[in-house]
Amino acid sequence: MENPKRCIHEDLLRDLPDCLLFDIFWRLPMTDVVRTSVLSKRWRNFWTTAPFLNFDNRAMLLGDGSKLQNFVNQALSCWNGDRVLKFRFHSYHEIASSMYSDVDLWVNFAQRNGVEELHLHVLCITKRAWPGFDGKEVYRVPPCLYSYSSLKELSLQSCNLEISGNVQWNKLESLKINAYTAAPAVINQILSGTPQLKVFHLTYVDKGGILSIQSSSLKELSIDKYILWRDDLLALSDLRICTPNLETLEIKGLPYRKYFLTDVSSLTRAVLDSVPFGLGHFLQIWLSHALSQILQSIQHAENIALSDCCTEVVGALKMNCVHSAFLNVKSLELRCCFDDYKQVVGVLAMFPRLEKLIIRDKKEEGLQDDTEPLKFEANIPESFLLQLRTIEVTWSERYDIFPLIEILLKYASKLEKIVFQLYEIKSPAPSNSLSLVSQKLKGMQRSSTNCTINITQLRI
Amino acid sequence: MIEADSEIIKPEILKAYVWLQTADDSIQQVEQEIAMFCPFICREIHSGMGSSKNHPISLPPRVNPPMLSLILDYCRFHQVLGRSNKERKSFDEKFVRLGTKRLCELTSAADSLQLKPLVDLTSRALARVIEGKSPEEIREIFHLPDDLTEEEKLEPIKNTMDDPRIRLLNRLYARKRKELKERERLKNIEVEEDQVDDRSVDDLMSFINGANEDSKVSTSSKHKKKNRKRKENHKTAPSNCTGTSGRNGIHNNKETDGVDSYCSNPALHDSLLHNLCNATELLDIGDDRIAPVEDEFDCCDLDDDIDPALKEEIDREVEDFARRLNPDWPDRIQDILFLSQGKPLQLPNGNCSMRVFTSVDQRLNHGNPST
Repeated sequence: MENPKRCIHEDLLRDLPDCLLFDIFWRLPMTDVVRTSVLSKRWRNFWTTAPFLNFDNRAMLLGDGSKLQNFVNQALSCWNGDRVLKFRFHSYHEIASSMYSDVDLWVNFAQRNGVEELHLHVLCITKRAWPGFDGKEVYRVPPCLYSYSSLKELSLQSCNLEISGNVQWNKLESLKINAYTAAPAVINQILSGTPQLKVFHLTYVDKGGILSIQSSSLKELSIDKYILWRDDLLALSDLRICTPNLETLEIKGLPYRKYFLTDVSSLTRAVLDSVPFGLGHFLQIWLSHALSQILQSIQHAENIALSDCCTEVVGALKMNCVHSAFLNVKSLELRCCFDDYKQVVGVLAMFPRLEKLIIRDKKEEGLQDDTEPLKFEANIPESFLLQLRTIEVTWSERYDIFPLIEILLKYASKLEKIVFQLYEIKSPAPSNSLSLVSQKLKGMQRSSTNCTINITQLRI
Repeated sequence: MIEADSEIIKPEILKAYVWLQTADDSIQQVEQEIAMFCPFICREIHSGMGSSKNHPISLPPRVNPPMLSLILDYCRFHQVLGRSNKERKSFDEKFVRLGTKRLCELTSAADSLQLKPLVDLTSRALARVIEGKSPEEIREIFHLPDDLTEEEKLEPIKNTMDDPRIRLLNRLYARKRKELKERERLKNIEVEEDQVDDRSVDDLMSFINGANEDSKVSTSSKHKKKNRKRKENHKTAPSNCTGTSGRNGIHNNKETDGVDSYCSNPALHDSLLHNLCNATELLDIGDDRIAPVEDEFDCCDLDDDIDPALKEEIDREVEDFARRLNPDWPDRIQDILFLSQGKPLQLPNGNCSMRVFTSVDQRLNHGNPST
């Protein structure tokens, strides 16, 4: 029987193994996945056996009410696979608390089917916050999840963590929590119940106390502390870190009162950042105090990255007390505003053995996509940039970077490579900027004899 | 003079090469450090293959020469250590700007060579191709055969309830939902929730069917009446039938303008669920042990609870259903049942219906075995 609709060409997806198709499904919103059942006979029930279920409402855009609820329920009841290896539920806007019991069931469903990677984001409150908000309306993680020991990767956002009993995540390797309340006691319990945890990202609201991170398995740690209401600023808390095997440390958000980094002996990379809004005078002092504490403990790191406010503060810091400042640091990444390049120079003077310098432009407010500034690599010889071999600069033409570059080029006698990336946000004739930049660079005095300059231009 | 000669020695000669053979028997010579980027080739080299033209490494069949050269380009770029992340990212973005056919071939080839970063990259690109497209568009892009009948396209996804584990889960799931709903209903006097469910069920259908809801509205009204009748029926039924109306909440069609064939399901589902929940009470479902299919349902003969006129409807619809089922089902069901219970089950009369409920099957056997 001739089917006129049948294509002459061969089915392109025929050769792809099932696991690959499932992997593609994981990257698609569940609505598209369910839709594949009308494609052809082969696809009719194919999706129901997928081990990866991605109910990401940011992509599905089903509204956050009963439409979403019914879709997920319906899809789950049609599902007919062996295991659910990965499960994601990510809401888009706020979810009414009447739906929480459904979310509990979905988590239960994933658990019963052997989930190993679970992403749960139940947004319940918008950015409005008011004094007295204590997170009671926030979705509470179902208690049975804490004793579910097959989890390897867990990501919880906007969830309340209240643990009664033990945490038994014996196989958990990656944990990312973005919670409104994460009391230090809870964090302690989690860390003691996760003997194999390698990656831990914690974003939370500070309510005071001592946050103590103790783990011998941890390799990557990221802490971001914020507040919801101005009054919470008064809840000053301390940070203690004792992680002998930690390799990467990232500290962001509001500073703590005191830092006790008692064991970070394996640290190779440190990223320091603060709050995204401008620092008032008070915050600047506070941050300065914090950074001097932190920097003392991370001098053995090889790779340091500083955000713009941190660069500013570090530049102003007088590191007189520290004699051998940062001899280990080989790579430095600065995100800064180049209004005052002397600041940058001041920072660079603290890193005599620097081999690689990456300069990123401060992120412009309102820019939606992740535009990285130009990277400019420059080597600077002398104890100032003496060892510098590569510079990467990302630049978006909003400020004059050339005085800084002149200095860098002047001193970096071992400079081998400069990578200069231009970002065109507004676009005049692109070729102009490129040749302009290359002209300027060529015209600068260079103390290095063997240096390649690599200028690229990226248009948004 | 001698010095000049020695300068002529080209460094490339000192590089190691491996020989690779593709499915069409053509043999290529490739720098070893580049080829080693692929785990498959790496393993082959370590087991001694590929060192000469006579013993080339046989690449998997899905790697044809053009794909191999693409893959080698990828490897050649990425195995250089000094590249920045930005450079790698922009190379990758340009690299996957291929036509769909080549993209699929590349994904397939990279997968067989176990080159995970490239597989991730191409999978992401394919997901981007598929995302947000209508079924027709997808069929056209990937040259998929349009071999579903119009009826099948309109038919909703079955609740494939042949796997006992899934059934168990769904059952408990439905029950719990029902309990929670009851609790809430006691709190607030809201009765309108079913209305809302209808609409969203339709939305789900329109996702699946491409919004083909106009057809056969007349029969839906017939089903409306039937649904209402059924609802009343169930209300007088024993109180342990909590699961059914709970299911109603999920598969509700009381006021649906939806697709006709979907309407036929609830009748089936509800009655079957009716059986199910009664079975639940009779068995101890405290643990998730998988009970053999027959045991679960032999003890429930619940036909008496169902209105006989309704039974006729159900019989007809089950037959309809059976006729429309995917012809693969008998084998698949055997597989699933075999795997989940450790012993093969006998399908009654080789009938290709869903081997779900004994009572239903008996009815089927009495009727016309449609296939």
